[in-house]
Amino acid sequence: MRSPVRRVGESIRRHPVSWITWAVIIIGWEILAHLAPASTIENSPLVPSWEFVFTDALKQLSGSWTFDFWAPNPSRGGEETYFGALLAILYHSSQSLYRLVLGLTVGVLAGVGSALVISYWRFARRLVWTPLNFLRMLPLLAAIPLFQYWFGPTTMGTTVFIAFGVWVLLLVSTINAVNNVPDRFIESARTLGASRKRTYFAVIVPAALPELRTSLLLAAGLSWSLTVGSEYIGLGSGLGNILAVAEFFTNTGRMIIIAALIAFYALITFFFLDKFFKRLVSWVPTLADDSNVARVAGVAAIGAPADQPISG
Amino acid sequence: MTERAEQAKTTPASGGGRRRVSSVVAAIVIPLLGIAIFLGIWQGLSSWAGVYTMPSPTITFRHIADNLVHSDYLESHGLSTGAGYLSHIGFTVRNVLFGVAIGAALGVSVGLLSMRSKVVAEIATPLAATFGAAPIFVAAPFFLIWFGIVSTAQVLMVSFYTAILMYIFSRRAAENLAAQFVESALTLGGSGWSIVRRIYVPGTVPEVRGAFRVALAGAWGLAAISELLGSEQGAGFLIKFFATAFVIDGMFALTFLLGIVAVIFDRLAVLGFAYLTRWSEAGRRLAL
Amino acid sequence: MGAEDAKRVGEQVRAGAVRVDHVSCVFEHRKGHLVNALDDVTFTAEPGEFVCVVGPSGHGKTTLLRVVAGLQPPTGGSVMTGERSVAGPGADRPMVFQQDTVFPWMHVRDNVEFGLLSRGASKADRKEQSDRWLKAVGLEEFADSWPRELSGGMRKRVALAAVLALDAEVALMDEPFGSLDYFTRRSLHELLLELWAETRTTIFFVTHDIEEALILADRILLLRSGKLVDDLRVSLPRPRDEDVRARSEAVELQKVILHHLGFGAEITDERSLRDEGVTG
Repeated sequence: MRSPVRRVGESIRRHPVSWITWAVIIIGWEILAHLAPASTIENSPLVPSWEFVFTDALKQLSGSWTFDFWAPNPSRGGEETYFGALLAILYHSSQSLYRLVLGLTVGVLAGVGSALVISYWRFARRLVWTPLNFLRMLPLLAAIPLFQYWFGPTTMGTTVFIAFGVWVLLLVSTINAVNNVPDRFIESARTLGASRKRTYFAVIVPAALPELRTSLLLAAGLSWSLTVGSEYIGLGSGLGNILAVAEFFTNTGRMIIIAALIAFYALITFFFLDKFFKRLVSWVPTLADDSNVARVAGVAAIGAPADQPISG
Repeated sequence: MTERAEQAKTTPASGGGRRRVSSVVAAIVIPLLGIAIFLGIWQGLSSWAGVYTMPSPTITFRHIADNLVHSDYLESHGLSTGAGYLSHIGFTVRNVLFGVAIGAALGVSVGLLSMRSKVVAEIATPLAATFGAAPIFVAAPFFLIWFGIVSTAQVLMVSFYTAILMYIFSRRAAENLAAQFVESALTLGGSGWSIVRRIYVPGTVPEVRGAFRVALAGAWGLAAISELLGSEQGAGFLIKFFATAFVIDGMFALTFLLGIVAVIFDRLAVLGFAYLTRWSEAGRRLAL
Repeated sequence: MGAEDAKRVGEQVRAGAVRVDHVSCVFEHRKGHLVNALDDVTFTAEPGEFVCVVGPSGHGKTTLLRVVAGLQPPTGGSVMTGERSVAGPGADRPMVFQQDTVFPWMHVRDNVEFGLLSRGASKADRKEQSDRWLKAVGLEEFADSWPRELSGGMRKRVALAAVLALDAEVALMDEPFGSLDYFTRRSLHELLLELWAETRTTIFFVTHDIEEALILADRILLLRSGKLVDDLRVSLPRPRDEDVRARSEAVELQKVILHHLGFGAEITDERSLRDEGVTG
């Protein structure tokens, strides 16, 4: 197993331009930070330097730790500490992750489940297609105030919101996937004597599953947007909340840290979801050529409905 | 496809007339029936939850009709001088279209360019992958702080998002384009640029069109939420206003309207692409 | 052989026959004009016959097969197998498709047992049959493999086993070996003929490859533009190796086929061919 250092070295040698690009961006950012007009508000540089990000901004995150144990509570006058910041990050991350995982799971199960039920009857599939397509096009981010009106800015409300968005997405994708099962599998099953019911469960459903990979990843991206969006707008905890607090104080340093964290979590979510899915459909002859998960999933990480898998 | 095979019967022609009637029925009656059922469910939910939680279809449609072009309500709250929801929606639409156009042009051209230039590919691809993975919405506060004006922030965010999407998918489409088409063109004497123009461009149309529609659909949400955060105009702003005033009818109506707008522009996009590729029969066939 | 057995054999003989009666199939092309995919096709296949349907692509061979399979209702005429008329697909006429229809999400054994399971056979019965047929097609070691681990030719053997395991009176095959290379095809021909000799199933085999038809068929039906233009009995001795196929009777037969399908020179002396017993 090659050591990580050697792997990085190899990567640099093979893709020099990419690494240089990143280096340029990071250094350029630092230069920009020093050149940008000084902000009139303390602790709110327009472009935070890296030093600021990793020291003051990071410490200021501890302001989001509003409990009185384990670390000083800045909101009650306690000092800002790195440990407090770490706790704050862990706490709010877990809040977001909890909402996300719950909403995503419920949404996926409900979406695939209801789709499989509807898809059994050809007439039902065609009937629901038009209204579902409309529902799918509703910009969910715009519906955040609506959902918060209904459920209040609560964890339950956010989870229902996420589940709803994911449900619509997977409902449409699964019906589509069932529609796209190649004729030849169905005809083969029928000529081998299988009944309609058996054909549906033993042939159509398994054949449709692999096509759900893209939608699953899109659902993950969607969930992240909806989670952060909801928290940003109304909630009292979670990564989106810290982002909102930071923005309120125009503290770009904190914002960058949180943004990077969210990106990191999102990538991990995609990675694990993809791995799980591949195990589920381990029999597939050739998995989709996009093994770069970030590329497949990240692109529609914002309430963009999954189209007929990106061809038309 | 599945539908046919499942019945294990295709209806062969038993006279052209009958076939045409049944396909008309399928194309119009069934969708209408679907919409009717949707409205029925909506009405049912409204009755169950109460009109102050979920306005019924009739209430919503009447509200829209009353306020779309000219809104007394808005006027009485000093939010407009008589103009209705339409002008706010128009604000959102303008910014979205502008942003998507810029982003698409940028994304596709860099994407196709990256097929010819390794340097461009090495710069753009990691950037797209990293920024694409994160919810773009996270950039909203940054843009708002840096650029202040909501329109600019919106357009930038939408362009950025669209560009990333279009870059990734136009590249993927170009990579997937059957190598044999390109090789065939080369052996027939095609030069670099003519290959791009006559093979790559038509050949990548379906994926590009698909990505464009996804970007457009997502853009509405992005635009709405940034208006929600810091604007005095636009659909998102109206939604926030109604939210703070607890006017459920207005919130619901506007969300519904945004959905309609999204559907309309999605259809227009499909028509637009069909028009753009109308000259290319070969392109269309390639694209299949 | 007692009276009971004789009666049973007699029933079986009747049961394996396929009668295609004035079958027509008219399709409406997208642009609105009508296409006669099949035009008044009539013939009867005797039980146990190996019938090849030969013709250029697009001339109705697959349509005919799909009508017999019950996947396509004809616009005119009817198909009877045994005593029953065909109304839909069923395990009494299983089909091997041209494309790869082995289900990738099931192990090889489950694929072979698929039809038996649909029929409601017990686990023990199914295992017995799948063991038997996997051995017959030479894949007993791969019973627990995933289809994607097998080559195209091996998957075709799985498809064959799945169809034959149903022990039906009639088996349909739509250019099943078309996507395979020549050498794989040859070994599959041998396998198919071996299995057919054992089961004496009535086989309908569609192909555009005249050589393949000569190797396999008792009887060759020529389909051109949806019409049955000839019905040739092939009396060449089996096995139809290179020497047999090089005989003048075989060559003349090929010429007749080509001529009827619109290729090759005029055959002026067809009657003498029939007299010689080459065709009938």
